[in-house]
Amino acid sequence: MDTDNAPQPAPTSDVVAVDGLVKRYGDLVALDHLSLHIRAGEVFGLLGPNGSGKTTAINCILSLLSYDRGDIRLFGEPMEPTRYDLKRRIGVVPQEVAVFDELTVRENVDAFCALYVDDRSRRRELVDEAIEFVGLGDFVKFRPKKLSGGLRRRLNIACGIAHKPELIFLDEPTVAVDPQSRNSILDGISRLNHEGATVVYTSHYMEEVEQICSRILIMDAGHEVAQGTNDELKAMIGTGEHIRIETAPLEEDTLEAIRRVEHVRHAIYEAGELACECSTGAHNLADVLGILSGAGVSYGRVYSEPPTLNDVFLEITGKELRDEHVG
Amino acid sequence: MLSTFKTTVLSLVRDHALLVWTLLFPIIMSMVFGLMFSSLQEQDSYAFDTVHLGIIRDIDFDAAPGLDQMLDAVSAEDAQTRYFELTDCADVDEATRLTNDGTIDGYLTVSSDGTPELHLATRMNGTYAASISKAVMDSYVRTAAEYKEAISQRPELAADPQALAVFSTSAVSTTQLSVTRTAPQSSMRYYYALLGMAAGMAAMIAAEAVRRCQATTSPVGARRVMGGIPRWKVLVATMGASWACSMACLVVAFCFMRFVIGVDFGGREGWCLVALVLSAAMATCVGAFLGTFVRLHAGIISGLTCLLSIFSGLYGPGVQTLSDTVARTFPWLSAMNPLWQISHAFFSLLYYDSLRPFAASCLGLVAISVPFLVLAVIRMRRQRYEHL
Ligand SMILES: Nc1ncnc2c1ncn2[C@@H]1O[C@H](COP(=O)(O)OP(=O)(O)OP(=O)(O)O)[C@@H](O)[C@H]1O
Ligand SMILES: [Mg+2]
Repeated sequence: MDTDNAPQPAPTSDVVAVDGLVKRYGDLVALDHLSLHIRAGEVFGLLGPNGSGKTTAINCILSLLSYDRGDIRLFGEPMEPTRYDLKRRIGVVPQEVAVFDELTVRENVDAFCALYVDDRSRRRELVDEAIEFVGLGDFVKFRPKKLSGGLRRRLNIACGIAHKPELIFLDEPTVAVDPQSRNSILDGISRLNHEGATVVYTSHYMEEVEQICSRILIMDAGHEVAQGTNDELKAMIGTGEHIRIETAPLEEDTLEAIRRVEHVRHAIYEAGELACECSTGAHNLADVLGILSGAGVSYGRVYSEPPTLNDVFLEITGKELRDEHVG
Repeated sequence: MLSTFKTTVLSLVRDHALLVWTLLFPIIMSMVFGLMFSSLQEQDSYAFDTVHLGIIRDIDFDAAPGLDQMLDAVSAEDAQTRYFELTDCADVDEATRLTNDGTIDGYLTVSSDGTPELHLATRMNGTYAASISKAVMDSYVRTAAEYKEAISQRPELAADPQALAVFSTSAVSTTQLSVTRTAPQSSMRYYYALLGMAAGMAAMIAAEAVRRCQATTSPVGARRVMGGIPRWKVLVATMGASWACSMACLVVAFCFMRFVIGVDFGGREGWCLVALVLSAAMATCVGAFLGTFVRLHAGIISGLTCLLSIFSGLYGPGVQTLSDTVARTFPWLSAMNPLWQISHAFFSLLYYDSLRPFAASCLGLVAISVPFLVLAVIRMRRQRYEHL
């Protein structure tokens, strides 16, 4: 009998496959049967409020944290702390800036790149590229302490991606970064993805996740709230667009009429503006504008905003996703 | 591995706080000692006056082993330096009278337990002659203690008149006395204890290096654990780099003492290097172990070092007596103190012709290092944790 021919688990094209991951810190369940599957070439967003378990999930996937239950496979292979072959294909940008304070920007990038690439001349190219990539070319001789917060974040990224990993984990890389730096970081991540990297991106800023992620997992208190593409997620909920219209003061009757429109859930008039929250419907805006015209109310600028991931989160969990974040 | 080594060395040598403790501190301390002892020396040793010493030859005096021989040796007319000129007194009353009228500078009695006591006239207070006299008597007390211990281990020695010659001719007393001519002998002990302290401080180096390669102790460490290099390579490189840095610090301190201050290492600099290599290894192993603990402050290492330095006799004659007492009463306790082993290794090189006491100290250092190394490696091997 040939035991070697025993059926092997079918190779999957999933770069990251996590099933039923449970992680406890004492009594606290930080991850509650979390499952996620990430395919090659995706930018996968892990969205959740503070303390929802994003960092814990990444650290478990990377075998830095032990977990109570679950199955973790990277590139189709079980991940273990000693799987250096797998680790070499992964880049990590941790949530806290983690670099050597005593080394310059260049030395830092080189030091971390050397954890993956032995060859020195190859490394020199990679380090140059990474520094170029994050735009720190003018600061190569600077020590991290001398860099601004945003530049330090960019250094943090350069240290994680210099070795051109196939799979990159970025844990809230834009926290406490000004909008300009944030945009350049997001652009950079998209570029990495176009160059072939699979990206796992965590954030509690829904705008970022909407902007760059092809698939999103929303989590709360360690478990999955919803998963899918941006559009799929929004289609899951009953919330439609938010409509705002600048108008002259409205009669109470007109406001009542608007509230009676089929898909309008709430309508209020405040500070020269009519604000309506709608459920999904084909022509909500046209309906509302029709009523205004019918009542002879002149109106100025009109805004119609599609539902956000915050609405998704709000509708499913009853909580706001965004917290009072700095900046 | 080479790159990890380089990164570690670079990040360590640029850590200013670390440099202050491990490199600057021993140098400053040896400078302080150097100034202290050179001002003693400046009181021109050639102008040193022979001390007129009264002797009361009672039963206790005769019972003190070798006291007579020692006094003969240092008061002989043809001695290189004549420390004492002896005057026999009948009893304490006569000695006191002679001291008071200035015929003699003081007198020597021996208590019933064999301890010699030096009584010097108040006018001698603070003179160089007084401190020399005390140094000579200290030397005798130490030699006598060793003699007694030798007799207790090999009773047949008591019958051997040659054994008593140790008091007039052995390296012990002659080295002490000849060194006393240029600088008080006891100063060497400070420098050796200081080298021990420098090694203790050097433990901070490995502690810091290890802190930077563990996920539990630093974010940089967590990041490095996720790297693609096998853990053992990172650890070997980290330990190697820490050892090299500790060694460099100790060699700098040693060279400063030897060539700038002029500390006497008995002309055995090669062996000193061996002692330094082992001291740096000890510092690395102990430091690596301490570095695996999350809540370790650098202050803990310097505090421990200062504490252990008490027992290697760094802080003055009183403490040296204490450390000698501990070493005699609880030899195993001293043997467990790495700083005592280090200062004792250097002390042995100067003090004994035989290399055996030196080798014993070296072995002691190895014996201290190995368990710490094993524990450190066990703790550092982990790459996956319950929590971070
Ligand atoms: N070492 C630890 N010990 C105990 N509890 C912990 C530990 N680390 C994290 N937790 C808890 O686990 C939960 C998940 O934390 P985690 O850091 O993964 O959240 P997060 O989604 O990354 O949050 P943030 O957006 O603030 O980074 C939190 O409730 C946190 O308090
Ligand atoms: Mg986090």
